[in-house]
Amino acid sequence: MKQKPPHPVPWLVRLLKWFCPEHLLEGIIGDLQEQYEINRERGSKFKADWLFISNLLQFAHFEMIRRKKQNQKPNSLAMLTNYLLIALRNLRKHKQYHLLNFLGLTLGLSCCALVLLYADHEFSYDSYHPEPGNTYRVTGEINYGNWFPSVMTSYADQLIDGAIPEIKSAAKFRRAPNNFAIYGENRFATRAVITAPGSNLFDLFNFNLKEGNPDRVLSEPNTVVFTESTAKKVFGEGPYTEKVLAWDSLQLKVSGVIEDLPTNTHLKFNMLVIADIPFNGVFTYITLNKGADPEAVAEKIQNLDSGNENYFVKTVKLQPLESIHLDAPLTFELKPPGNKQYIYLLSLIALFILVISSTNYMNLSAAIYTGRRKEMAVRKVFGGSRKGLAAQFLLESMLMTLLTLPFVLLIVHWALPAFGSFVDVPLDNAFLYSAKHILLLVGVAALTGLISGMYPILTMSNFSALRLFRKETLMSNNGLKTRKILLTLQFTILLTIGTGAYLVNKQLHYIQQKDLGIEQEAIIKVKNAYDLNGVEQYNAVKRKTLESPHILGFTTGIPPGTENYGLPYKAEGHEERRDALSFSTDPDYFKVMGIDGLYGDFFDLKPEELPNLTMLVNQQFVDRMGWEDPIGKKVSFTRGGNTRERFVGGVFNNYHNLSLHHAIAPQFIFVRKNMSFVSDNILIRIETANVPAAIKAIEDAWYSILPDSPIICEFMNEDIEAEYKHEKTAGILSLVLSILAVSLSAVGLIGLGAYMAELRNKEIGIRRVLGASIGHILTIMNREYLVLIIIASMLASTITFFAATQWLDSFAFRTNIPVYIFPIAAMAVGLITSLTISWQSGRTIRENPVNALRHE
Amino acid sequence: MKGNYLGEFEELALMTCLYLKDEAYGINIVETIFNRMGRKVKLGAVHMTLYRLEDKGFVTSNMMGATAKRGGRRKRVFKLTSSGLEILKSTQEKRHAFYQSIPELKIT
Repeated sequence: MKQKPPHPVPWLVRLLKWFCPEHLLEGIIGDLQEQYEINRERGSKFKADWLFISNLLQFAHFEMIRRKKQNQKPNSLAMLTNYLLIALRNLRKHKQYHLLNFLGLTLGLSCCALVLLYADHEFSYDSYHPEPGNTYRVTGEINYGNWFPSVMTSYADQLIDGAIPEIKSAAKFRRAPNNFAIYGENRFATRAVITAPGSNLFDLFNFNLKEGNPDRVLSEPNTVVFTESTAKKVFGEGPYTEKVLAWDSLQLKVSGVIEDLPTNTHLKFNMLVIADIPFNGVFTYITLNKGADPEAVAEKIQNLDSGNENYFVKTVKLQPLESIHLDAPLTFELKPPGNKQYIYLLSLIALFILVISSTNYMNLSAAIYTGRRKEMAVRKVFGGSRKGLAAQFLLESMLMTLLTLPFVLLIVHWALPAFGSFVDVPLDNAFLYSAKHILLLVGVAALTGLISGMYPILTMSNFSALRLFRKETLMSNNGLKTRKILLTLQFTILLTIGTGAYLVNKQLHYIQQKDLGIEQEAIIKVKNAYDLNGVEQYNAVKRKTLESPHILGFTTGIPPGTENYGLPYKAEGHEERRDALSFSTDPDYFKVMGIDGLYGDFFDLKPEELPNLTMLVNQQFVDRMGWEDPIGKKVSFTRGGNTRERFVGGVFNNYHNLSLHHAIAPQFIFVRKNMSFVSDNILIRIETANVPAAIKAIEDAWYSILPDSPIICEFMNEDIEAEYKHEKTAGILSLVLSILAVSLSAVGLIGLGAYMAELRNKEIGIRRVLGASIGHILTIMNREYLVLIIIASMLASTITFFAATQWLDSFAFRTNIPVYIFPIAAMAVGLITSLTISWQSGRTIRENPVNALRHE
Repeated sequence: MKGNYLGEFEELALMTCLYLKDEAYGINIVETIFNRMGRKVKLGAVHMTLYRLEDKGFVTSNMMGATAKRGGRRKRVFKLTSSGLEILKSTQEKRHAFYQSIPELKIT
C-alpha cells in the first residue's frame, strides 16, 4: 500500500525521475523524503524545503545520467555502429549487385535533381521583386479577342497620376526599336526599353543599382541606365555615369548602371532609356495596396476614359507578375513563353526513372537478402527485435542512397550545361550553395531510401527465426505478391515510355517530311523590317539586295505559322466572319515563297500590267465559301464605319499557313504594286549554292540604308521548326529516357533472376532428377514473367493509346497510331526479360541437382 | 576494473555499512558518519558511492522496510559481499601496518 505525502517541490521530483535510472528511484526518493521529514521536525519548513532541494540536486550528476542511459536499453549507439559495419561488409561482399543498385539510384536521383533545378527556375520567375504577390501587369483585349500585354498610354498615365486609390504605385515602359548604341568607335546592338522621366519603375521591380543615385537615376530625360555587362561592352571600364552616347536620334547620358538582369525574369532588356517619347501602347505595371481586389481594380481601369473613342481597351485584366512567365503568351509578348505542361512532363519522367530505380533496388535487395537470411535469423535468436531489424534495413538503404549523393552532384554538374541548353534555360547548380536545394535533394534521396528499404522490412523482418533458418521457400507470402505488383508497374512504365517515344518521334518525322506547300529551305527572314523608315527605304534595300546574283527574290509579308487573324470580312452571300488570315504584300511574294496560283490573271500577267491592288484568296477560302467560280466575287470589309469592297482577283494553292497543329486556315492576301507600309518581315529567296555570299549581300544592302540599326535575320525554316520546339525536345527526351529505362530495368531483372533461381533451387533440383529438360525448366522459370508482361502490355497499350491519341489530336495533321507496335514492344520486353532470367537461372540449372537437394 | 583499491570515502562507506548491518541505507549512513566521524557528507555522494561499489561487486543492495515517513517507499539497504569485506579488511590492515611501521610520530 502506497500513500504519498506531497513532496515539497513536485516538479523537481519529476525532474529527478527524468535523469535517474528507474530501479534506483524508489530508494533515492524515499531517502529524500525521510530526510525531509526529519528536517521538518528539527526546524522551519523553509529550511527543510531548502535542504530538500539541495539534497535532490546532488543527484543531478553526470554519473547518474550515464547510469540511466546504460540501464535503460541495450546501447543503441553500439547497435547502430554494428549495423553500419555489417552494411559496409555487405556492400563489399555483393559488389556487383550493389554497384548495379548504386548506378540505378545515381541515375534516377540525377534525373530528379536536374528536373528539380529546371522546375524551380521556371516557377521562380519574377518572385524576387519587392511585392511579387501584389504586383500586376495591366493587359487589355484591344480587338477581336487579341490580348495585348500593353495598354494605351492614356490609361497608364492616369494610373500613374493616382486615378485609382487602390493602386500604390504604377510604372510604364515601352519597347524600343533596335538601334545601335554608338560610343566613339564602338557600336553595340541594344535591346532597349523606354520609360518616361520620373518613372517609379525601380519601386516596382528589384533592380540592383551598381552605380548612380537611386533617387535620381530615372528623373532626367535623355538619360540611360545600362546593365553592367552591356555597359562594359559599350564603354570598356567604368565608372560609367555621366558618359554620353548616341542612340537613335538621341544623345543619352548614363545616369546609372544596374546588375545584369537575372535569368528568371520576363523583363529582357540591356538598356533602359529615360526619355519623353510619346507612344501609343505601353507595358504598364501596378502594385496594389494590401487587401485590394484586383478584379475590382481591373474594372475601374476599364472604365477610365481612354481619351480616344477609336482606341480603347475592351476588357482589362490584371496579370499577376509571377505568372507572366508560364501563362499563355499574349500578342507581342516581351519574351518567349514558358510551358507549364512541359515542366509537368519532365517531372513525370524524372519520377518514372526514380520509380524504376527504386523498384530495381527492391528487386536486387531481395536477391541479396535471401543470402542473408541466416544473418537475420541469428539476430532474431539473439533477441533482435523487429524494430531493430527494420532499422538495419533502413540504415542500409539510406546509406546507399545518401552515398550516391556526391556522384549525383558530380553528374548534375557535368550534365547541367547540356541539359540547360536542351531545355533552353540557363541553369546553375544551386545544389552547391542553396540550403533549400540541398535539403530538398537530401530529402528526395532519403525518401527514396525509405521507400526502397520498405520492401525487405515488410517481408523479411516479419518471419520467425525458425522459418528463416529452415530455408523454407518464401513463395507463398505477401512479399511475392508485392513484388509481382512492382514488376508489373515497372513493365508498364517501360512499355508506356517505349511506345510513347516511338509515337512522338513518328509524329516528328511526319512533320519534318510534310510538304508545307511552300519553299522552305532557301528563304531568309529579316525580322526587324519595322526599323525601316517607310516604303522608300524598303524599296532602296530591295533594289540594292537584288543587285546581287545570289538573291533570287525579295518580298515582304508574313511567313507561315503566324496567327494574324482578325480582319472581319463579309464575303458575297455570307455573314460577317473573322476566321481568315490576311496580310498585305508586294507582287513578288508568290514567286519568293514558291506558292502556285490556281486561277486568275494575276499569276500570268507581267509586273507592269498588274493592277495596283489585287485580292488573292486560297483554295481553302473558296471551299469554305462554296464558290463555283471565285474570280470577281465581292468581299467587303467594314472598319470604323467605312466599308471597302474588294473583288477576288485570283486563287492560290493551299499552303500550310499555320503550324501543323491547325488545319489550313482560309486566307486572303492583298497584293499592292505600290505598298503604303511594310510588314515586320522581309522574306528573301537566296541561291543555296553560296549562302554566306547571299547573306553578305543582304547585310550590305541593309547597312547602306540603315547603318545604325542591327539587322536580325534567320532562315525561315528555323523559324518554322521553332514552332515544334517543345515536341522536338519531348522526342529527344523520350528516346534518351526509354534507353535509360530499358537498361535500368534490365539491371533490375538480373537481380530478380538470380533471386528467383536461388529461391527455386530445390524445385529445379527435383525437376532435374525427375528428368525435366533444361528447356522445360527454363520455360517454367520464364512463365510467370511473361504473364506479368502481358498484363503490363495491356495496361501500357491503353495508357499510351489514350495519351498519344490526345496528344496527336492537338495536330490537325497527324500520323496514325499503328496498333502493331504494342505487341512488338511487349515482345521486345519479353525477350529481354526472358534472356536475363534464363541467363541468371542457367547457372542453377546446370549445377548438379545433388548439390541443390543435399541442403539440410 | 581497478579492482583491489578503495578510495578513502569508499572505505568509510563500506565500514559504515558493515557497522549498520540491516539498517544500512542512505540517510542512516549519513547520520552515522556524522555521529562517528563528525563529518558532514552529502546524501547524493553516499548514494553515488554505494552504487559504484555495487558495480564493483563490494556490496549488494535489497529493497526493504517501507515506512510512512518515506511516503510508503522502501529503503535500499546495502550489504557487504565477501569480497567487500575482504578488501575492507586488507585495506585496513595494510594501512594499520604502514602506520605502525612509522618509527616516530612527529614532524621534524
